[in-house]
Amino acid sequence: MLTFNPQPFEFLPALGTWLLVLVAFTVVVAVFAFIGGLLTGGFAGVRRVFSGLVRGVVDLVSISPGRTWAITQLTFIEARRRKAFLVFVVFALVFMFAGWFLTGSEQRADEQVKVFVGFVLTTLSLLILPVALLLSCWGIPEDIRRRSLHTVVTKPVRRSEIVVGRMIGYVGINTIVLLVMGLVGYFWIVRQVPDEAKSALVSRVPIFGDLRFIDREGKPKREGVNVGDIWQHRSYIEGATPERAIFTFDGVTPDAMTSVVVKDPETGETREEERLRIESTFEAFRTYKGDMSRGIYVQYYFANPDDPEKTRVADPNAIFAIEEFKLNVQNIPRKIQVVDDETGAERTVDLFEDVVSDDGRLQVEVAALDGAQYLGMAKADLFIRKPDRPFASGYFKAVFGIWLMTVLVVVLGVTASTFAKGPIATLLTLTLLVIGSPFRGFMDELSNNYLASVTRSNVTLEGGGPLESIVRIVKHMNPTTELAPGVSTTVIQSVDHVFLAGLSLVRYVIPDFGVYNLSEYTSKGYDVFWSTDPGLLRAMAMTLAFLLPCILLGYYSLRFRELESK
Amino acid sequence: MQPESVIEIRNLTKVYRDFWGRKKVQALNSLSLDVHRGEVFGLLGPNGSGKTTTLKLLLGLLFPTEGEIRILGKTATDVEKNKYIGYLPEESYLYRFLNAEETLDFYGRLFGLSSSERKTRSDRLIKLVKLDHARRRQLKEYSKGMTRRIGLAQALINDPEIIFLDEPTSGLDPNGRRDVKDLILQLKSEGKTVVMCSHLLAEIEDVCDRVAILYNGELKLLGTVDELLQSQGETQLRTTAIPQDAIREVEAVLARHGAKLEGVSHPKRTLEDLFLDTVSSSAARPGQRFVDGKVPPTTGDGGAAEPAVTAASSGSRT
Ligand SMILES: Nc1ncnc2c1ncn2[C@@H]1O[C@H](COP(=O)(O)OP(=O)(O)OP(=O)(O)O)[C@@H](O)[C@H]1O
Ligand SMILES: [Mg+2]
Repeated sequence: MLTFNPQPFEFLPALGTWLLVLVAFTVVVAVFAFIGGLLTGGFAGVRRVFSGLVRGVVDLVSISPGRTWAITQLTFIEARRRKAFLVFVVFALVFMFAGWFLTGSEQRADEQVKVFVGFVLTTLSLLILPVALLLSCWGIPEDIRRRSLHTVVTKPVRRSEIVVGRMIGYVGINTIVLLVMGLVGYFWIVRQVPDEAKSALVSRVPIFGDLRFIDREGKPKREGVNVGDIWQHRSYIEGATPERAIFTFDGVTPDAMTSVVVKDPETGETREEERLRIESTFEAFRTYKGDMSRGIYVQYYFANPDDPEKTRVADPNAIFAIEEFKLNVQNIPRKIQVVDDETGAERTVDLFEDVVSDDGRLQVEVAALDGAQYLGMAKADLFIRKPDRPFASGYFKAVFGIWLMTVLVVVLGVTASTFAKGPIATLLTLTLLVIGSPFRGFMDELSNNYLASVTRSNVTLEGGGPLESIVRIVKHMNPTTELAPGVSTTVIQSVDHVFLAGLSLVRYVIPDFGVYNLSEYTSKGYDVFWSTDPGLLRAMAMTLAFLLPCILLGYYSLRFRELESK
Repeated sequence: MQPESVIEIRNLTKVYRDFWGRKKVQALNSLSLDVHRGEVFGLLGPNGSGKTTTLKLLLGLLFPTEGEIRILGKTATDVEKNKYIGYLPEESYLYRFLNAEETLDFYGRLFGLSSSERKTRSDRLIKLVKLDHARRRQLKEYSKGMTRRIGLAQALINDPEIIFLDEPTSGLDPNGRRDVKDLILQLKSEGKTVVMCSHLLAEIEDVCDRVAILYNGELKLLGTVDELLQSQGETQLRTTAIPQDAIREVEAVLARHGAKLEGVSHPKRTLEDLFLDTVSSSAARPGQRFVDGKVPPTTGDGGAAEPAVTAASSGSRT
């Protein structure tokens, strides 16, 4: 079970937001620069700022690949001669001993695979992050401290080339380190996983659907308070009623079918056949004990989401007793024999021609068959499993995700190091990392609630902002009671307003490191998705989004920095 | 003909400030001077007088507090000008993990030189600075003088028009100094402009066309070496050997043209004397500054040291 909720990721809207934020920040910075210029140097100051900005654009556009590459290569030689690659030794040591601790655990085979894969991917990111952080944060400050940069900048090198060259260099080093460690980790997993668990070493490719519920009258059913988090939160349908859980899948094409070995019930021969494989995990809630020796019965109906009434078919074979907390696998054949309710005539329905919509959408309705028993499920509990991909697919995509994260760390680190000394730059980048991952959810929630309370009249920020909350805690006040109106309340609320508005802006400049958490897919046996959040495209977008602003910032701060004086 | 200025410094002032913007040191005070194309220009001054600061301002490593700088018509922070200049820092700020060849190759790339060009140039320069035996050793293993030498080679990799040398001979052995001196003269003969700082006045005297003396960040003296070292009010006659008793009658001898007159000139002081004079008078009278074209009168009686074969006569003024 994934601990997060992969949402579809739309690239174009994201690009739009990015552009908007970038332009907004550029404008704000430019305005401040002009005001600063005006205040310090009058009209001449404004002109200086303007020509500085123009020259910045020129310097960025006319980056010379040759000089940049010279800086990159220098970075490589430096890392090699300074023995940065010693990290491999640490890596090798970890792996030599890890085998002892991880094997021999008395777990199920697929659980063991999870442990190994999770261990390798975690180790990779834990080892690569310090390398990325330290290299990128200390390079330029060290260069300035030893004054070797001084000689470099008296050559016709643009500061942008130094920033970009360094970034590429550190990314390159990290790429090599990660690639080697990733390959070693891969072969280590493949060798360590016991033979009986090898079958679990695949990348499952699920199609997750949207989930909604209908009640007895066939109307959409309101779910609990926790609507936003349906991934985690299971809702229930009652057995032997018209209540249904309806999953709508997209991208259901014949190549979503898996070849499975089926046994002919008459001849007893086995052969391979293409089936649509549906996997599910359900939770049962029994209002009476019933027959405890079997699970609750479940039936699937298939329908075209555009016209469910006309197209609905019930696969007579897709009635089964669930096994709770285990995977129920249903292989649905393409041709389904159905008996018409009214005429009693038998006919054959082709799942793809007669049911699935032209654009590949399919509706799967889940019904529980035992009266007064409830069946609970959440969005990820039922999915179509496409043909598996090799384990390497998911594994290396997860490694690629780690790589994208290290690229972002390098970019941030190099940028910080253009205006701060090594320790400060490290601390700064580390802070971004910490705010960007564990605190991210908290921050997002706070500012989302705030934005909702500002933009929509019916939403209030329960308990107020941080200051108000503190006051409430100190005064032992209930979050729903209003604060007594007065000067102090106004002050408290204004401070919170400013803080939350600031936070909502700051959120855009703090990268969301959560998007790089792709290893969870892999360690849970899934392939890594492209266009979900988290997903590969999202992770790439995150890294790219910070690239340009960071290069800009790094360039300007290195250029306006008086290298010699400190 | 007005000589072409390749470097123009106008009212250059530099105040070093601390992190909070408070004034720490005033390193330069309203410095104005020009350097002409093809000359060897010497910056002199006691320790801490602002020579290195001037060079760093010229190179854009520091930003002026006030004043303007033009190098080849461009501002100090314009990277374009860097194509035509070479710089040997006070201490060699090079990458210590590179060896001599890699160092020159790296800087060559920054000038966009082709790889064959880099190869031939670095070969030539390594031979020129006599580091052939150590070309594959990392700079961190180099001695001080060797580091100086590779620094010098690095400054010449782009065949620059203007070369800034901050104490080029410090740390070098006598042979090395000799080589550097020859090198500077050779650069001059190729039409390059050289700006150098040094404390070795004999050297400056030998190679520089013009010198400026800084004291406490102020320009105290500026002029051609010949001009500055001529002492006023004295005339020097150099003759072939004349009998011992004739010396007392030199004037008479001259009047009678008894000896062949080989030359009449002003006796020269050494630059060292001039320097010490300037510094001590500046210390005694702070605030006095060199103003366009006028050399303030120097104290001291001058003409202290004469070569043994030189007879000096005082009295007749030029
Ligand atoms: N980075 C700096 N921060 C603060 N003050 C500085 C800095 N660099 C130089 N100074 C000060 O500026 C003044 C001029 O220094 P500079 O290095 O230019 O002298 P210099 O003429 O090159 O001396 P030397 O002959 O010793 O090389 C000195 O008082 C020095 O202390
Ligand atoms: Mg100096």
